[in-house]
Amino acid sequence: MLETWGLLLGGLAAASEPAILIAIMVGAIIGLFIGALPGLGPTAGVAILLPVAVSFDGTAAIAALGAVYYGAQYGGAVTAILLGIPGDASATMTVIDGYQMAKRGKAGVALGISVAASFVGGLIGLALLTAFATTIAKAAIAFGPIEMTALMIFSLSLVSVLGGSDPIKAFISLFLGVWIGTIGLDPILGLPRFDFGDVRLFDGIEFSIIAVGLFGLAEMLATPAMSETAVSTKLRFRDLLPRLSDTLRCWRELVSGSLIGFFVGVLPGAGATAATMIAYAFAKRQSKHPETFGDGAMEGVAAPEAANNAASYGSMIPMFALGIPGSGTTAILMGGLLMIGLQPGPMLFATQPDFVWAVFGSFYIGNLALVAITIVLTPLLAACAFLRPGYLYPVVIAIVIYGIFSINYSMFDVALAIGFGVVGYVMAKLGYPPVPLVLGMILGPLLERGIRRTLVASQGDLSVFFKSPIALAIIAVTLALFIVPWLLKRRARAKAASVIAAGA
Amino acid sequence: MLQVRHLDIYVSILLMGFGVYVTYQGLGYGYVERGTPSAGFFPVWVGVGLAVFSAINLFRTCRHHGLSIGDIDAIAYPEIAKVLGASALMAGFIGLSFVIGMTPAIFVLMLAIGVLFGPRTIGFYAVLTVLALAMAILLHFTFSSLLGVPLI
Amino acid sequence: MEDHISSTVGGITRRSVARTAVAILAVAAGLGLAGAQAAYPDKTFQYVVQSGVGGGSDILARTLAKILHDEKLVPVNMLVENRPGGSGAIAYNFIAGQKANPYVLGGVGVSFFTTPLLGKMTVSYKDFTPLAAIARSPYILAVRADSPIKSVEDIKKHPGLTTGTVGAVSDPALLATMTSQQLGTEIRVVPYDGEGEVLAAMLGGHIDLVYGNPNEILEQVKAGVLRPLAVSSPERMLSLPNVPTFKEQGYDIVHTQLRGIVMPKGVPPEAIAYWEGILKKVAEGDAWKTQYIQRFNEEPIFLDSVEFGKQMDVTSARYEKLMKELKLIK
Repeated sequence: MLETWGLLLGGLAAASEPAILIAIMVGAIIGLFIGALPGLGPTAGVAILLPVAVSFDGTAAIAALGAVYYGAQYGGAVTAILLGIPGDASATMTVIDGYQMAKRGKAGVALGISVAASFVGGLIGLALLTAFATTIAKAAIAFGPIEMTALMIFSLSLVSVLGGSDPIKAFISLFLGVWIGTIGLDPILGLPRFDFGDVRLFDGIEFSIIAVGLFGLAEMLATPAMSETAVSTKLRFRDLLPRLSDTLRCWRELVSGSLIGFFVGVLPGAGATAATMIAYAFAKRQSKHPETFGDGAMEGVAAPEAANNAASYGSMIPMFALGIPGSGTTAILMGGLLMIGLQPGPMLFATQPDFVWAVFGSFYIGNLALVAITIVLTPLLAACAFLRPGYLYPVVIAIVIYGIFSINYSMFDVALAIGFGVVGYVMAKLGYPPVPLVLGMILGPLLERGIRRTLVASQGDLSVFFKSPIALAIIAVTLALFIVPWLLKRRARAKAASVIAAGA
Repeated sequence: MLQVRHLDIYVSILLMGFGVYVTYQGLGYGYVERGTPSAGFFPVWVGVGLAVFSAINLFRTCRHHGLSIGDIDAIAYPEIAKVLGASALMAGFIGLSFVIGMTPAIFVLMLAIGVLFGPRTIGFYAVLTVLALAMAILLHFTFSSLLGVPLI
Repeated sequence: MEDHISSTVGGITRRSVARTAVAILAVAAGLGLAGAQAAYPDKTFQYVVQSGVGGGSDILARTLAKILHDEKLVPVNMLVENRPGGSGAIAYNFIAGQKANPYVLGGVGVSFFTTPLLGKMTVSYKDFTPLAAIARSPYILAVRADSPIKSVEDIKKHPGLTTGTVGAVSDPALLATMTSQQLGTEIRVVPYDGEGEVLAAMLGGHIDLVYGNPNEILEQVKAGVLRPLAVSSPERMLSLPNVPTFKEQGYDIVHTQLRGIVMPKGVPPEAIAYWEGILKKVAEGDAWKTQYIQRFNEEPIFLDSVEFGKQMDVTSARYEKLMKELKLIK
């Protein structure tokens, strides 16, 4: 343990070299910027910088790419809060409460919390990465298809917390999301499903496209024409500033969000977006005022933002400790390692300690730098929310269109986003909650893969599901935390209703 | 005025039909093969779920007037026109960008959206034009030159 | 079928007109080249990658572009452009659509064969001109170090073993069915979403066997985590001289991934000859060996246009057979 901190100090010193500091700053700013662009997230950011970064020296290259990665996580929240458009997939949950806060003129406060949450999540994730990478990596790979199935059942039961007031419509929304998740080549057999004869749907629909349409464009469509501002209150300078006291109030959500994000992020194939959903639902479930969630609760910003930043370090663990890329972004990072001539693998810590620790050191420095940059920018950004729609919307729609186009260089995707904007508008008018749809779209495919992989391996033998202690434990928690309370509540409500009916 | 309750009913019927379609397609992909769920397993259940819950919603909405919808009861026609108008403008942008290129097309779209959402004053139009021009140039530079995106 | 009948009965049909047009274009382009000998190439080359940045095909393209530039092998630039999506369909449709254009190149990945076979694309691998193959990646069959399976033969003693692949149709899936058939046993193939997930499932004990590129497997072998059983190349690998091939062990399993480069159909023969020469220089040069072959643990090889074309026929036929067995196509 002591040895670890010694190595880290060495790493911090190595990362303080001017060349590496410049690499960190360049990466962090590019990441922040790309993360803020709707549609483009950390994966796109790292991919865009990769060809340039590999011309740097080894440590600087990976420090810059890493900075893009976590910088994008900071940036994703900015668009989510200010415009109600998720800057990248993992910022979707931040939209729910962050945008409500901005609409009430508290954009600065919300941005402040997201920065603080990003920093705390990053720090907790980093500390765990530095201290226990190898141990955690070994535990993470114990998570196979069976355990993933159980985790997804757990996560999907979150719809009971996130569904809103109308359970019927929540389920319809959830099923629609799961259906969207099945579009494209079937992950197990390779058969095209719901492609409507169009090869452009073979890889499915990118989550960002749906999220941008459903949240961002739908919101703009619903804004009445010729309104003065999108915000209901007057501009006050105080509201543009982040406040430390608010952050301290959310400490529980910050810690739980970070831990959830980190451990879900470590699991190969689970992803940061799933982590933010679990963190958000957990925070709501634990809150004394769950009714404020979705209506501008600070905790609703703190939990998912802490989770997605912690998840980014979690997902690096399999890469550094085992030489396995656990997510799309780390797969590209690993391509970067290979291109600069480093072989990631189980021996990396042993053969390249200087490199690994310098990179870890650069992550700490980069996070500090990002806090400084974003705090300075916060009042400026927060003022954007007070622009009148006549100026704001043309600019935002233009950025959204360019962002979506850049995902696959495809106008087809832009058309899809516009279509989902209309769908989102209709859903909002009819009281269909959009959150279950994104939940279904992210988690449905993971559940399907889990179940089918398990049964392909066991040749249809269902008993394997009951032989995994991890899976059984997760199912037990699901029942205790969500399903039983939900059933009890419904029963109590039905009873109350019948009492009233009898009384009348 | 479009009654929200009526819209709810139409959408429920649409979703029911869609659920049946998804289930039918799912059966075509294969439900179970050699004892393991096949490509159609999930779609079948998703379709059934969609159809059943939409049917419940339809039944509920038809019977209880205005129970499931909160405060909004009707959508004014000007609002529908605006939603359709904004969507049509964006769709028009896609078509236009294949003819005159993305950057000129986005300039046109920004003007159109601004006119749709903003006040009808000369001062506003002047600022909007400058803003749209600056933004189009900025976007072109950022995406094409900095990010290396092959714009149309 | 209908198309075929009409073309024999009706004489000149749209299809044969198109073919003639292509032929004329090709001849014209060829004449143009002959007219101005040194003119080709006089424009920037466009190398279209079917996946995103950082993947195997992308790294190959970018390394090749870098070497062509550094060693000044081509007088013009080569720009690498990623056109991901549609399981390769977007990029390959684009390349095939640039008929007879000798300035567009692309790399061959698994989806190059499999996506057209699904029957939703109008092009197939026959709509491309093979130029050359410049590297070869064999597959290594490996088990965890603590596995009771010590040889390929042992697989027979443990029925119901599982292996992981990326997607249903892939080289590892092909190798697993080949192994099953040769051994007369059944290896269950569990599809995952990426090489990383497969390796994680392997190390976590959720699958029993793995067929991996040296690039993924070798480091794990060096660390003593995985034990190699056989390699799928015709000869032993330079980096694993102690591991026998399937062939040596008496199994008729030879399948490697060729890193090949193609152009659209109908490019002039001069362009093919030009690129064969360039790619031969690349494949035999030191820069390629140090910056690609050694770094990614692949095997050096050079196949010219004709040989590579033959290999494309073999590979496509293998995938077609596998996809029929999986009932993906009829």
